[in-house]
Amino acid sequence: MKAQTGNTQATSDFQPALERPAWWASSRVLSVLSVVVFVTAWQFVTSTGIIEPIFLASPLTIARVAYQQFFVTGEIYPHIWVSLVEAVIGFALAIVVGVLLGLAMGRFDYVRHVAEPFVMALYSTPSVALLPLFILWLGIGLWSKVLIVFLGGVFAILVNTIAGVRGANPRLIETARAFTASETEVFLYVILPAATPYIVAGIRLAIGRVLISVFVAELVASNQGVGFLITQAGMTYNTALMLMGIMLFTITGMVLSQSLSFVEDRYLARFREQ
Amino acid sequence: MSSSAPVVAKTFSPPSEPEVQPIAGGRIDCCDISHWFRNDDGRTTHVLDRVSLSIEGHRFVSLLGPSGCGKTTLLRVIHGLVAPTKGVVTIGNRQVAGPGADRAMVFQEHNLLPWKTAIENVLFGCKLVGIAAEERNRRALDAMALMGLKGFENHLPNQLSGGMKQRVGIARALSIRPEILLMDEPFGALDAQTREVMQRELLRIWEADRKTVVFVTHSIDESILLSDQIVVMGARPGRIVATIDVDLPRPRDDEMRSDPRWTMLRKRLWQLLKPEIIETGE
Repeated sequence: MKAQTGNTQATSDFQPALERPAWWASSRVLSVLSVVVFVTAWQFVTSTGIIEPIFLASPLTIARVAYQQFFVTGEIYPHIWVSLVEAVIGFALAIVVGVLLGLAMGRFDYVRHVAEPFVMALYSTPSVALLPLFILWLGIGLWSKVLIVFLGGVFAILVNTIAGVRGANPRLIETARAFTASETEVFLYVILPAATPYIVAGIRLAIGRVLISVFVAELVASNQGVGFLITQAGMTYNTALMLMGIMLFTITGMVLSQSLSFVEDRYLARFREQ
Repeated sequence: MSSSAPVVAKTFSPPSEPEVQPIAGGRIDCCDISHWFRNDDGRTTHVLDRVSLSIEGHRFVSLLGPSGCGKTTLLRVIHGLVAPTKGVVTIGNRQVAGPGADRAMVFQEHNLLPWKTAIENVLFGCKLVGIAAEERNRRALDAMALMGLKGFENHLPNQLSGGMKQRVGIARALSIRPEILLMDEPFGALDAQTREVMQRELLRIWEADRKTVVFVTHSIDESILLSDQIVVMGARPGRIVATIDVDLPRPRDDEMRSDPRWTMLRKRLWQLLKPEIIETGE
């Protein structure tokens, strides 16, 4: 994402005398403004009846439903908890396996040659297609969904980790060797740091896939979870509740990937070659 | 130090103290080094062909030649980064079997880790060769001060100019206090002015403690300015064409370019190099 914009003025020396106000150049102001305009328009078309509430609930209605769910009845929490557990366990497994296997596959050709056919096969198979099989093995409880979430997230991390390891600058590796570095030292001090930004980018890409997997897994077979809630609300024409559920996914995804972007900008920029 | 000692194999260099690593003043003997590899298309490329060379300790020796003459490969063989197909390198009386802490390499590209600051890069070299932590710090600061890097310790490589980065690269090599400094066209990537400044710096540092230096270059003037001895190499396959002593007094500076001895040497080196350069089509 963009670096910190603050209120820097992006006017060049060749800008004509017709000055735009300073806030115009600030991307944050424009972004906020565009959201405000959008939400207002949304409220307008829904509350005036241009679009019927069954097709699109107004932002205020959604807010009211959210308030009810979170602060009055508290019905939402068990759903969030179930989805969260699936997502966290599946994602954690995807990170651990993706990073470790990726490091091994990137570093050792024989590991890559052994694992590659299976990785490719699984990568090409839509993981949801495997859900019936997983349900057969693990039942419709937590673990079949964890497996789907894991499969959804692992490949982005795996592929990026491999690329990061293999992309480590050979001149830096040679330099470390010139200073009598062992293979382990080369790996720890040169390859691993060089691969770090790739690994984090892979994790960031995986966030979206993990959320998709949570939703789809709950869509197919479940009786709880935010994905289940969305499906249920849709089937009972409770558009406001449905949209609120969707927004939970949206917000979770945005917050996670934005925080990772921030970490990347703030701490990982130096790991990239200039 | 304007003596032109013969370069043929000598008997024995004086033995060093037994408790120190068995290095005898940084003397290097390359004995019948050949190196070749097979290309993808099945043809064999001869990089080095029976190269024999003796470099006495405490001398500054340049390997001068056109690209493709194997000078960089020879340097890497001396360092131990490349194992030659045939032949043996001995340092003092020990055979080279891999990189060692008695030799340090300065590369053409600075090759600094971009995520480490200048001083961390210098410390990294010390750490890898196994120098204790507190000693490491002292050495890194010393080497950086020597290279005029005071105040730049905490800069990241991409905050430094090309010349400064190369200074860090040299500081990293010096900080491990090697017997032998191997330099692979260290100033090749720098602009002309920076290059001259760096050459002068290198002379100043070298004259202070006279390590053995093997310096790869394709610049005739650079080799004259810096070296006690110039090893002229030819290409296809890489071999030694001539070994020439530089008979100019030290300390040296750019003024000497007008010295008739410089001019003569330059002419002679050019005559030796010319057929090699034409042959490689450069």
